[in-house]
Amino acid sequence: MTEPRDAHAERLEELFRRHHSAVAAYARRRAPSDAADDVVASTFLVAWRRLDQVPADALPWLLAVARNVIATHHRGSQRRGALRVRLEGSESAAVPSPEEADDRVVAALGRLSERDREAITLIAWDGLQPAEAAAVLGQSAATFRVRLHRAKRRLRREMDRGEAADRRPNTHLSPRRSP
Amino acid sequence: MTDDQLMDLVRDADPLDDADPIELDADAVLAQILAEPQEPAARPRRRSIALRLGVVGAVAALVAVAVFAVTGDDRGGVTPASAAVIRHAISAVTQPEHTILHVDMRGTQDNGDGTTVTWRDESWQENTAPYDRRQLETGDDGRITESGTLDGNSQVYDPARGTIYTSSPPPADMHRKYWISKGPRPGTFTLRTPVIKVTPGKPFKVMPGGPKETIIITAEQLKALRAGTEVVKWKRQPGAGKKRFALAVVPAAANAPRAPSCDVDPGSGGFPDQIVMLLRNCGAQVVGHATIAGRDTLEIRSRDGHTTYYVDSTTYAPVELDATGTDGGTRLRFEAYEVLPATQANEALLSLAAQHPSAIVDRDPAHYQAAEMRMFPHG
Repeated sequence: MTEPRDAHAERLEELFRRHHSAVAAYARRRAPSDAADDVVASTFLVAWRRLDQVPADALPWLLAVARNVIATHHRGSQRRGALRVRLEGSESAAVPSPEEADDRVVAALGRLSERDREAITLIAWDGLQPAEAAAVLGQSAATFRVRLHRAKRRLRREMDRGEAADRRPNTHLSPRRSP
Repeated sequence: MTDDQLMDLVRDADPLDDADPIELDADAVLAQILAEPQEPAARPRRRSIALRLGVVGAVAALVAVAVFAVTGDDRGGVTPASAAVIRHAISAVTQPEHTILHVDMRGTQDNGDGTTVTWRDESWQENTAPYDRRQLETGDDGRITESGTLDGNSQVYDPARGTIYTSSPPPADMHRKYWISKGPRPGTFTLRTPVIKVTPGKPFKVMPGGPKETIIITAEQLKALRAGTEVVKWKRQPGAGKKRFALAVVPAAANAPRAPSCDVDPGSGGFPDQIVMLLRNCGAQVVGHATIAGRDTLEIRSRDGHTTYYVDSTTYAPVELDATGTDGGTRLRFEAYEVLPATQANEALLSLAAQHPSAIVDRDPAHYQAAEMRMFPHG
């Protein structure tokens, strides 16, 4: 049986009211502020069009969509770097104040691979539980736990490396071991 | 540094100020979205997240049914027998202070794509400061890497060179968020915190001993900072031009501990505590017996069905921990899980130098970094 559009609209509105701040925060951490609003709108537009696929625990699903939207923007951007995640060194509006960041942590995060960084920041910044973060990344919770553990280990090492790491080329920072 | 401390540092580096409003015209955005047509039917998608989550739900439901079937408790409550087992299991992993935990475990991770990763970790971990630790990691290829932590410094042993490489300790002030001194008036204090410089496109830099930003705080604020009910944060200053941020003492609500997780991270130093959390707060119940490696075990499962923990039916010591997901899982088999008294002989198990008395100790940070790259080529 098809639900009436009003019921769909109510559900989307409820989803939007409950989660738009979290989705916006996720986007603002990873994209310039002017693009972040578009990311939010695009994310909920996908949710609107695929409402029957949105699970009861909707936030991980929404963040996974937002992640894809950001990636799509990034790939399609003619202005290379305009949507780069701020930790990759972009001079975007989303670059945090230097005064508010722990330089050592941010620098170390910046030297991690994207997937390591995402595993850590989904937990630390977006406040997700490991199972939720796993859903965002399309992984099993078990796989995510191992990835998170390894990401933390790599982050520690990068923090230890400190200044010396700044002088090294970035090529070695790609994941060294799967998964 | 513990996992929790590491993650706290990352949280502190969150680029968003928690107090910042999300500047989004929610009503307008929502109206725009609702004006868009909905697709009549979703296209089939390959292993969508929704499907994955649906599977999780289905598995959890099946587990719940299984729990009721085994325990015969149709109210879903914990049976007395189950409660007693949980109590014993908690006791078995509760480590007295000033002891050393020795764990030898084999891990298998099913990636869900037909591949698996196996490893072995044997570690000795002191449970009080300075939390020294020694660890032997055996990878898929059989290569053994020995590393440790001594007085907070990371170490790695290179057997080919007969050398223990030691990381340098961070500058004493590196982790300081702020310094407190007497204020200009009675009942006030001066709070100073480093000013960090940035070059676009390059990592942030702070020089120990560099410039500081200063604010005056009250005795009450200092007390709250020390109690952890308030924290120091940089607050955005709208329209403040180049100096967009200013120091402020704000309630710690945004930094409040989050709900405890029922997921167990085997690599964390707080692994025993996580097991206790799983047993105490995650609806764990005894669901049956199983024989693992010839040992009779009691099978304990979390309410969500994602984690199954097997303990020896006599000693309640950990035997196996299985975590399942929708496309794989991880199995940790405990070959040893024992608490050792902090005798001189046992403390030697924490020390790379004690284990390799003829090894040279190299404290050059650059050599340590190079050794780490050699010994952990895959991270």
